[in-house]
Amino acid sequence: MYKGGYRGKILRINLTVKTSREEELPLEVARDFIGGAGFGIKYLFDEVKGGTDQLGPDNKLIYSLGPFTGTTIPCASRMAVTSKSPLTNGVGVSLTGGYFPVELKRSGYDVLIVEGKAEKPTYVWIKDGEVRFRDAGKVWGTQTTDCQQIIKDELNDQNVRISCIGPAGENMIRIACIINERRAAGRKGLGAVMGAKNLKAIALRGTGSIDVASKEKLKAAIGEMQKAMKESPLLYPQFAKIGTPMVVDLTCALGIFPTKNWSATGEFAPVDQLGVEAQMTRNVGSMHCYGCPVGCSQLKLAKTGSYAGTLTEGPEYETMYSFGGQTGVDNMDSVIAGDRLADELGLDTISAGVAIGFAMELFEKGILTTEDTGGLQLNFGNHQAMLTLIHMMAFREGIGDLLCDGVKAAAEKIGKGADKYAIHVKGLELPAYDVRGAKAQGLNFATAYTGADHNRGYAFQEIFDIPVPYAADRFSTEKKGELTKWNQDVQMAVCDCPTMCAFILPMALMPISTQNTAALMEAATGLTYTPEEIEKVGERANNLAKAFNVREGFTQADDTLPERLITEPLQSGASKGHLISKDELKLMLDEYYRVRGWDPKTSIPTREKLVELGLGYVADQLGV
Amino acid sequence: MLPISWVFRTLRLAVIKVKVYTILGVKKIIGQGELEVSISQGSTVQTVLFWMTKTYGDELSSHLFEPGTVNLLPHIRLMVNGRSVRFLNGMETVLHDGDEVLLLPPVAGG
Ligand code: SF4
Repeated sequence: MYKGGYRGKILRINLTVKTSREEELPLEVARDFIGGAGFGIKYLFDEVKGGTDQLGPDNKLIYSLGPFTGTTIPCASRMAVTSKSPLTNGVGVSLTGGYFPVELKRSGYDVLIVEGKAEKPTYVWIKDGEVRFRDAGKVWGTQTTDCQQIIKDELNDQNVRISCIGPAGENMIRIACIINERRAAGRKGLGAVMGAKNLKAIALRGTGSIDVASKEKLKAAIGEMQKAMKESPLLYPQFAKIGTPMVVDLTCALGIFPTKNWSATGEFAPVDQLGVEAQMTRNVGSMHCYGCPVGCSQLKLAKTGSYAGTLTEGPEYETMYSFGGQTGVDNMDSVIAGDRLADELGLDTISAGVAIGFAMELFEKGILTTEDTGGLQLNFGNHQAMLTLIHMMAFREGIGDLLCDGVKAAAEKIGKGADKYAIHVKGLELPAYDVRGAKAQGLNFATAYTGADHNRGYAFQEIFDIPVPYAADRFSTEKKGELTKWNQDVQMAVCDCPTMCAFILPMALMPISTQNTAALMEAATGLTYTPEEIEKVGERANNLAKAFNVREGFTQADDTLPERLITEPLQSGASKGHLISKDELKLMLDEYYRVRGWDPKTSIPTREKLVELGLGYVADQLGV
Repeated sequence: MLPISWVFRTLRLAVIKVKVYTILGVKKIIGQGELEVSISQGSTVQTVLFWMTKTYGDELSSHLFEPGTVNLLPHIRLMVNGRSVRFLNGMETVLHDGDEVLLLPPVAGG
């Protein structure tokens, strides 16, 4: 019996037969996985069989909330979207914020599972549990802002919240994202899954209330959390005003802001053009997710050339890298325009920018020529070409068709040694940290269940110098296996499952992370955990995600890094001379598998470990 | 025995140059992101910090130190040649000619 936080219900929608049904959310699933990404991984493993076509009707799209969403807990309007990733072929989890997650909870559900494939373009309209399948002919082909507005007008309700895809998702490009408001469930190509299902959007209106187990306990627990937030020297004084892009200044100083397809990190460090001082000349306001007192998201207005007048929510730090450093572009206004264009067309800005930078390097090396590019001069720094390519990828036009399924697929098609320049792990393009100067961050990229993903085990200790659970020398391999496991499990348990904004953890909650989650869980849901049990939830979810990938055929060899990072030391900047050599990577991986309780040769979780985590049925399926 | 002029010349030359890089709030206070500091051989990170606070005054001191003390605020980050001084000899880390010191205020996000 649920006492609060949860609605206790799953809504299952089948697009093929246009049916919906409500199911109970088993209490033991809530207890073992808490919610959010934990639920997504659990239902993906249990319901999507090994070998399922990512773009076929048997793949599922799972929207899942945590028990904190919609309560008075700050910074908790978050939601995981999970599917088998068309980009990596493994678990695809992406989290988004904004207002849609709370609306789903108010609609009465913790989990929404979308199955099958609609016969023709459809959007699903859910009003307080009443489900309608509506013709999306009118919005098919629209950009994401227009799509949301047209649906609101059609439903005659401006308070409807919508999760949708743009043309990129419709065209099933494997780096397509899902957009709600101006927020993205950005990575792993989940927009393509939606497009493959002929599902343009999910529109919600919910008016239900969300109870909590103990209002008094919740008030006290939130008080502790807010105290930590207020004491942070960073959260309100800086982060609320600048947001994530302040990290440009830091990573440029550390010599790890990746540039020119990771060939010029440290040497080309466009901090004057893309750093905070330049950013502030474009800031025109900020946005808050529901129930967030911080409001880190900055609105920026482009001011020069043909980009003048373009407004975007962002670009976040990652996009400053992908459309900035990675492509050699240091024109702030083109990065703003690129960010808006990618959001409108529905592409993941990280993967899109990495693909463009990859093509630019191949062009400069003569592996791609103007014959391949349709006359485009794809040199590093060509911002007009960058904008053109974003468009071409979304519509699968010309060379855009070659690049839009990610750099791994593109390199395979191009041949001629192009794979050497493809910056990805498990098919997922690398985010904005040149891990040659941050080795735990590198180990996380090599081992995270989603591929090279900064949000699944961020090494705060190296990048931000936070000494919890212990300080870490960014150039050393020492105890990095243990640290990476801790980062992955704690971030899963504290952020991705309950769900809580991942930015609050490093800025305010590191010293109280799992205690804080345990206190909030007890107050909101009545479920009691020790801090160690909270961490175990993260470990359980990470092991189950790993098991899904093993079932899909991933092996130890997939836990690696792009060749460039293993063989080419950084040439300039504060990380000059560093790399992660093959031996160093092996050393860190060996330690990581050991502390995880995984077979060091195969990287497969042992039966003993799976049983310890209550995942005996998974051990049976894997045959371990 | 060495000629005395040689000893003097050597002593006079025992000055090293290090570069200090900084960002955001600290950069704003000192008006630049990069500066070269000449210090005597054997100087430490602490020497550079004291030189900087003497040069740039109270505003910089209040950014770096706990009020009324010479204790560095816990979130201020110091690095020599990219490595945190936590893993060197802390504030006592001895600097060498050409070393690069990073003085970083807190940043997070990403
Ligand atoms: S800190 Fe930023 S991303 Fe996090 S909940 Fe608040 S507004 Fe949203």
